[in-house]
Amino acid sequence: MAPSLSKAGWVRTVSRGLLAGLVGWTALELSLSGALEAWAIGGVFLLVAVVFSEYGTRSAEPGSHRLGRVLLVLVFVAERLFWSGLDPTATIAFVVLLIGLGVVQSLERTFAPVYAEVSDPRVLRMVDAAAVGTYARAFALLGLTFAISLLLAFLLPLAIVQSPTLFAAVGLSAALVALITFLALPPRLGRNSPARSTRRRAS
Amino acid sequence: MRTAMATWLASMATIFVLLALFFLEWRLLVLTLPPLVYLALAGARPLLAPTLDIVRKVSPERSPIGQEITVMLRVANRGRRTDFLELFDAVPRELAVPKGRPHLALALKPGEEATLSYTVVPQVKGEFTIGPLVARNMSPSGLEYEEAVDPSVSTIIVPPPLEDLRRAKIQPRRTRRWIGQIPSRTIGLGTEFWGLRDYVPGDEIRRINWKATARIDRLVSNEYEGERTGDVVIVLDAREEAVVGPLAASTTEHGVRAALAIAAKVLDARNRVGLIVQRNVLDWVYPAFGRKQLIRILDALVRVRPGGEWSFRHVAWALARFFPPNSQVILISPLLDADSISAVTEIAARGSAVMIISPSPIEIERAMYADEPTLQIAYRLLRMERENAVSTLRRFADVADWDPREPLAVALRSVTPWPRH
Repeated sequence: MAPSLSKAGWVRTVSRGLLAGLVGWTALELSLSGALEAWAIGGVFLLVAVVFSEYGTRSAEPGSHRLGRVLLVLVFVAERLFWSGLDPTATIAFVVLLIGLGVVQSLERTFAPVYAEVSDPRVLRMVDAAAVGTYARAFALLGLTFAISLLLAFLLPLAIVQSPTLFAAVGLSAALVALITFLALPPRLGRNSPARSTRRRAS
Repeated sequence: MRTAMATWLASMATIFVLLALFFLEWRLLVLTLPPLVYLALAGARPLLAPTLDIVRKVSPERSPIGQEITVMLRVANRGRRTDFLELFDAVPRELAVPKGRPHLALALKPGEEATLSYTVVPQVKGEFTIGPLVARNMSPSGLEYEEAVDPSVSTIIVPPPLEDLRRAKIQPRRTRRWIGQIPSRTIGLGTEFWGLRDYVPGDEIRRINWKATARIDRLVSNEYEGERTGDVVIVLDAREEAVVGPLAASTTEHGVRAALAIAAKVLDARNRVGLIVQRNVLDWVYPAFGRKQLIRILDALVRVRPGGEWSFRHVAWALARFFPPNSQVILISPLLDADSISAVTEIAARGSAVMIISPSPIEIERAMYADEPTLQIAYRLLRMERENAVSTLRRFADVADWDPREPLAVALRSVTPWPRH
């Protein structure tokens, strides 16, 4: 049985589709801004972002994917900051989709080569189960992220950063950076979890 | 464990915080919320390392270069359900993977088993290990994983190819007391006629020369030239300085091929063969007879990897100290430095007969590049230099300048058979 090439194609299409959506959205924002310099600089950056993303997809290179996403968010935020203005709902949606792009690009790097090589129907069933389950859970998590982020944007007193006292602004920023660092650390760290290993038989 | 994507998200959120502080724009802080929430949600449900039973089967475990080897992995889940399990089996880069993949992602229910297989093809000789296998339970967020490592490894032995030297003449110059196949210029057991002598009681009837007996009217017996064995020590130069060319076709790899072919040929003629390999360490196999010795030499040659920068003169010291005196020394070296040339002089000065088989580094390099006029001039200059070095060495040794693209037997044809002592 031939390896499931069409499934590998689908996996790539998901990430390319999401990338195309985000690039299209940013391009639309640039054109709506009406500023020629925004369109010229942003257009070049967008083109480079697409090139990096495509290179990352073809060579399964996470660094290129990451660079492509950085350029994309840079253009979007710059355009919003200097021309269109930062609308919380739209920016949150964009950032959530950008995180989603990172997730699907990572899944694409894992599943596309596996689909291109696996031909055994029993193994293929297990790969399908993993792919479908993972994509579904990832998108659900992204939806939840969007909803909670939106809720927090309206509940949290983020405007403190604009208060005239520098102390409050720096304090809030420091608290956020500390929270980010805490969340970015492995959850196991400090919990004294026991060492785990596979049971094995001699081969 | 966190993935690189978690770091990327955290960095992005931190940059937004700093930008917000710089521009004093609270709406930039809104951008930090999605990464923060995503990181928090991803870490909310703890992951467990997978508990697996893993059996790896490699068939065959001994295979020549270029032949396919099948690796079969049976993975059984003995723990909880894993929705996204990644398996990585470590395969050395000297082994190509033409079919299947040593990396797979799948879902396994409790008690479920999966059998995966892939094929590897060795590109060079050597002893390779497949494994350990790393199993990762991945989080769907892509930010976290827990892994377990199965440390068991499978070993594949890839012997070097054996050159056909059936028609080549290689034999030790000096003989020992054991009966063998080399004419020894002394009377003894053999098949070549040596001379006549008076019959003595106990001589075999078939040794009586009846024609001579009739002519001089008393019993005369034939005497034969004794056939004995000799000692050969093969010295392989596998130093870092002696490596030229790509890994699979380097001077060292060709040297290994030549060493194995010569050992097989000389052992086949019932001689003792020893081996010295100079690499990171000085490996040696003491001279002995027979098929077991060939296997010992093969095992030593399989592990040869170029390395080490210490002087080649240690070989001369090891030969003088630990090997039988007056052995035939066959040195396999590309003769790239003055050190190897002075080592030959030293070995010859100690009374050993020396033969040099030199895989030509110039021919190896020439095969790597396109034929250009500039390179042609460079090639001719290098060729002249090498010929000068070889003619200097011919004062002390028999030298076979070997173009590795040709069979070794062709190069050995240029070496005159050694006179016996």
